[in-house]
Amino acid sequence: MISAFCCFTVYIPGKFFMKFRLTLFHLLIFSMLASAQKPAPKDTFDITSHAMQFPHHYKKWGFQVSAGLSMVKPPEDLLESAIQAPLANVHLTFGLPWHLLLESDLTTIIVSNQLRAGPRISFLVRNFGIKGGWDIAYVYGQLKQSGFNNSTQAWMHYPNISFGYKLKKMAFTLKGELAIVGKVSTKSGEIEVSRSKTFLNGGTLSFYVEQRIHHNKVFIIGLKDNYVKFYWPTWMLFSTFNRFYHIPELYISWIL
Amino acid sequence: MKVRNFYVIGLLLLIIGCNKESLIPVPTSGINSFLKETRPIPESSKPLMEGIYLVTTNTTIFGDTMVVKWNHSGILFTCKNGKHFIMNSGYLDSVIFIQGYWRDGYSDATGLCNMYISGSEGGNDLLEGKPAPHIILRGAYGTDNAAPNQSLTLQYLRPFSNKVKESNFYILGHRAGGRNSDRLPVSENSIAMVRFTERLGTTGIEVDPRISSDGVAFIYHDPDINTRLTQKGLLAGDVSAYTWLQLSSFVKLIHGERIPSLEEVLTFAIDSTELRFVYMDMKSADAVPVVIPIQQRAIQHAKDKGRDIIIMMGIPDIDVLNALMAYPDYQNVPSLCELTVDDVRKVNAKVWAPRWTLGVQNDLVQQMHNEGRLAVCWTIDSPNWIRSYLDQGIFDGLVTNFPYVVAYHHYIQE
Amino acid sequence: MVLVFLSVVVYSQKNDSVTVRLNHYTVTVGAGWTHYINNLQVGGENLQKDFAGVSVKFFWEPEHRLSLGLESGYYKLFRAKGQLTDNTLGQVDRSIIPILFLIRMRIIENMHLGIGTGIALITNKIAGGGQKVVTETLSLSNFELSGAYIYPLNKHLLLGGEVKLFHFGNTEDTMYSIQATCAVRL
Repeated sequence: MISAFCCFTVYIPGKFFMKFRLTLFHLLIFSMLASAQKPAPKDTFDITSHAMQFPHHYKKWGFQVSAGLSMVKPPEDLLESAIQAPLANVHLTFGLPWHLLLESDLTTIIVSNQLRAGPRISFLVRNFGIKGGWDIAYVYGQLKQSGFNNSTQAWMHYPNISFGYKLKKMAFTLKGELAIVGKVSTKSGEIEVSRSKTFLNGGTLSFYVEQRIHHNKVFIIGLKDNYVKFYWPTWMLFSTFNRFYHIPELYISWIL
Repeated sequence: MKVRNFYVIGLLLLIIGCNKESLIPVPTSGINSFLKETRPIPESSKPLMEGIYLVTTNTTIFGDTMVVKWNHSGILFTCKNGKHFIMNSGYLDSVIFIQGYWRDGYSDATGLCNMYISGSEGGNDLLEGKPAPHIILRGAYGTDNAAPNQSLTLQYLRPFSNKVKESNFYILGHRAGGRNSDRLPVSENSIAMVRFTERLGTTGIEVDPRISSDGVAFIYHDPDINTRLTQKGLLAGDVSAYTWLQLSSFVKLIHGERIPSLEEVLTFAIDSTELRFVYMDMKSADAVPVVIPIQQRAIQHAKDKGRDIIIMMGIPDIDVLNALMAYPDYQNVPSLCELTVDDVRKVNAKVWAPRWTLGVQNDLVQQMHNEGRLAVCWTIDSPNWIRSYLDQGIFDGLVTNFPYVVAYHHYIQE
Repeated sequence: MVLVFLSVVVYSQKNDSVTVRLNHYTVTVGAGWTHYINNLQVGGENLQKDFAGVSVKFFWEPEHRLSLGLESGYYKLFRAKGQLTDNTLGQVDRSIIPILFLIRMRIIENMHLGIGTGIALITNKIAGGGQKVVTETLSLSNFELSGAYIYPLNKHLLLGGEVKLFHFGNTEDTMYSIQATCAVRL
């Protein structure tokens, strides 16, 4: 602007020169004042209302859905190979009154599927959140192997508790849950290969980070350790082992 | 390893979550083993010790009955829930001492065990070669390497039934005795496993032949060199791409053994064991023309030594079937066919081996018997199904990763 | 580690600019030193473990802290030469081409932490013990952890450095790499 002003300092005779310089000066001042009236847009995003894993006061009658993947590394004892497999996941929350909510989760690897749902109660105090609940899950799998129709059905229980801490734009959640098998039955053709009654299957510990990725859409990255005997995505391996295994998962999800 | 590498590897623990389960060490009695001072049990005494025993202490862990059975290498006590004892024995004066360890085939539990039979509780009679109807084994077991301190007492109930004594049932150890994931102290498909397998109750083995790039037949289950089967080394990738010299030089199995050639395995099974069945589960059709002459030499060697052992070429798929049928005089190659009974007849297989999930199929098994063929099924691991197949089926053998469970349910039959 | 991570993030939150960053893509090339962590149980003596490695990454960098991308590269893991066993002379080379999906997060200005997973093609070459053999294996269980400092020279060009740790599950190989990187923002 100043350069432009200077460029206009050309020879204009007499009083017209002075008048022109004053006009430009006023235009310059006016532009500067005008632009000063437009402040940079303020980022008012707060992760609290956008998070799913982080315990907070979920919006009453409000839905949240996320879709993502878990990359899981099943034990080599079962697979006899070092492979990681993707589990597709859709997660849903539905807010209720009195700090309650419903959560539901569908995880699938096509040949093996788990649908779980359950109530939660959630509290937020300043930046700290706590959430507890009990999920019931139904597992169903079907696979044709070497000409045999194999299938499995199981009922599972997941009592769970989550602790969270939030910053303005990011939230962290630590979640622990027990895995209890209510009943599991696996068939190969007409033969029921195995059947088990209620047993404590182990537990899981997860850590999630939720933050924005694009506009105000939130992305979840999580690490989960399953310490279990029966790992439902691997039912088709017909394991007879009575051992606990650490089965890590890398979880990524996009809140839609 | 440099210290910095420890820090680096430490970072991986959260993400990678070490699923490489540590090898379960076999508890040893070490330098305090009192069996070194004892004399070997006379051969005439061994069958008199065998039979069904009542467990009178700690029945919640071991069940209420145990089968005691001598084998080529020692003595096996086996329970119905997968727990079993791998023991050695000797005597001093009139006392029979039995020492070794127990393990749970389905989990990682293990421990030491010391037992004895006093002179007045059967020891005298057994050592004189007389039946002893009131044998009592007394002793203790422990966990891991701790000294045995939990009481264990077994009381002789009865001998094996005539049905069992007269049966020619084959207990076939999968991959020569069990998988690496079964946490045995020896590697699957190794000479060490063939040496060890009878201790688990097997009377036969299933092995997995392949051929190297220069045409040497060896046994190895997986198609690639990996850390499930081998110690981490310089080679990786397709195992059949390497020469026999390369495999012998650069590869060690998980417990340190070499990959054995098929010829070594068959010779060892004939010369150094009492195994009666070898099932060669062919891993590629290319191996068929290489394996047949080895099989024939081994059969001749067994015949020369007067060994009662059958050595079968396994046919797991249509490619191997076609490769066998392309061989001149294939109908005289002793074979075991996993396909249909019609395929069994087509190739004149001596044994039919259906997958166990097809059911007991007594009608088809009877047809095979009527034609002078055997029938075994594979690979059956659940204790309930093993019992069911032995009770309701008429198979001549079962392939299993848990031969001690099959042994229990077979020998306890009345 | 989590406490350190949280502390860094909390600190950076206080200084975080309210300016919304633009949504863009970057292509990054890197080259540098790689070091193989020798855990061979057979034939691990006299192993050459240090080589050069190259990488290429394509990232989508939305306006906030997270970026998503794909990475590939070429790394030589190790070379064994000479007396490979008591009875055998020869040479063995193992190299790897990973293809990994990456998630990267800006922790503080210009500093990023990343995690990746994906597939890798492992090539093993041996000359010795009979004949030359080249085998290729596809590893389906692989992980990467990375930390990077990337400084923008101008709107489109960025320079920096990166430290990466890889683990390849099929052969249980682990290596780390320190690379200089150059990124072009599209």
